[in-house]
Amino acid sequence: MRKPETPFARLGLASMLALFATLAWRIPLATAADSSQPNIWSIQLDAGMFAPSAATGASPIVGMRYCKHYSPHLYGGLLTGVASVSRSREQGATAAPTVEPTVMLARANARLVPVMGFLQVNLMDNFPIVPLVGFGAGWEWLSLRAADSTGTEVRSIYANFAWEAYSGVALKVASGVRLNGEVFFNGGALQRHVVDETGQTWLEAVHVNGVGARVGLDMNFE
Amino acid sequence: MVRAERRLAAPSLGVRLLPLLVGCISLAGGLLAATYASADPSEWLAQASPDSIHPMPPVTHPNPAAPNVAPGGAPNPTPGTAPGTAPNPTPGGTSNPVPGTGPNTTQGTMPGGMAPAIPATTRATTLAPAPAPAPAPLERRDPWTLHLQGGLFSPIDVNAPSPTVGLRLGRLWLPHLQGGLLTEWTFRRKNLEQPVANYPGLNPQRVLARVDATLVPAMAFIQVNLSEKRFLVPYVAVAAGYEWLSFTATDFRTSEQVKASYANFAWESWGGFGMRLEPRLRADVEVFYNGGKLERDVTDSSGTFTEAVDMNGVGARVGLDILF
Repeated sequence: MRKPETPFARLGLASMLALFATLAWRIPLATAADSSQPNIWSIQLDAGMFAPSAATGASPIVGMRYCKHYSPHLYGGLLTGVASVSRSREQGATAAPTVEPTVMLARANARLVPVMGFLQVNLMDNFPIVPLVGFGAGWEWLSLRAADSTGTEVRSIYANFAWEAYSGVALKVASGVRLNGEVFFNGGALQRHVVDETGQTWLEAVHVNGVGARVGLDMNFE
Repeated sequence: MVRAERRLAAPSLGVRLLPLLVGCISLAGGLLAATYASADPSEWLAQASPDSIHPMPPVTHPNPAAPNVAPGGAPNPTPGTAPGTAPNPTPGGTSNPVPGTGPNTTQGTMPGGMAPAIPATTRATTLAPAPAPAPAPLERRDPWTLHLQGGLFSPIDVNAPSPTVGLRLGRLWLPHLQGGLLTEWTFRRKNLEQPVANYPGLNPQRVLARVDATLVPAMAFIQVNLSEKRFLVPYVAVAAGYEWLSFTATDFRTSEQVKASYANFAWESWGGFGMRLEPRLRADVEVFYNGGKLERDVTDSSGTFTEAVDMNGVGARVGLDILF
């Protein structure tokens, strides 16, 4: 049962909100005071592979990051992407190479979509190769569609808070254009509520922790 | 189970005052930051970087009775000047030494109100090195720092790393010394799970039981930066304050839920390196140790006793240190 909020709890929440709002207002004001910083934004289009620990093998992923350059060293913005995970279980499959047909017993297709805010730090900007680290946090959705040999098909959507950390290097290939190579870790346990045949509600969770690698093209614009 | 519910209904004084304490600290921090935010930005800029002060263009007051104050608060011997200003001994300097003798220019005014026959820009350049006493040095306000951090914390008794995020709001009292307040949020979740169906690929799991634990410290800290000039800034710090641990255990099979809160004095120490990316931005990497034995009072049929949880542990985190 949910505990009713006390006036103290409401006061604390309001105070915390006031603090964060003040900081969120004050820091952009301070940084905006430096008019020598140009107003630069960038978009990165990337593609790579992602290997969730709950599923064997890697899956393709494409993504995008859109951000503002608060300084040459600090970027902040939003990221999104789509990872496609497709697995099947087959009868008669052997380890040895074969051209004989197999019977598919079950198949599962999943699409993983994150939408996160992120901060990225470029550790230097005086060299053609720029090491970078970044961290993102937000929401992630998993759309799962599974079918077995009986023809039963299950569609479900899982969602929850998730986070991502990445690190890599950026290679300046032209003015305002960089080629980024990164490794990343995605963390999260996406879940949904399920009502079973007895009417009881359960939580179902899918762990989407995993590592991946991607390359991307980062383009600046003002 | 019943004990836990009774415990929640009558928490200890520290737990009951948690929202109030957090609220007061947050309110004070917010008001302090708002006070700085409401300051005149140009004044703030001028104080933060005296190099950004530019000479004002020459302004002529045709009215002899006009206020005779030089830019930047330069001293002026004219009667009526605000008290406390020092006299300006330089004729033709930044003030009019003869009261009521004609127009007053803020720069390059000659005695008798005669302006020099040189362009204004040249006047400013020529008169810049005049031996007029420099304006009183601007008092530099100690800047504030906001440190946003994230990492992993592993209590020794748990032996499993948990994600942690937090912030430190501090003030630079000295170039090498800063102090302020910190708070963090460390979260740990453990599920008892059962596979749902034998699908290939991502395996959905049914959650049979779950334990969530949250650790929140609120501490005051002092940090010493061991270098102010180098790219790498080593630093050490110590903090002390109060820490709260709350956990919720839910068994979805029996629909039972247990909640408990522990609190006590705790301390933290950390050391690390900061990479100075910009004058106002630093990327920090640090390891830290958290020490504390959090307690709660439990009453059962045999009496009241104290439960304790050791929160000693180590962790590592990275963060951004923003000067503002």
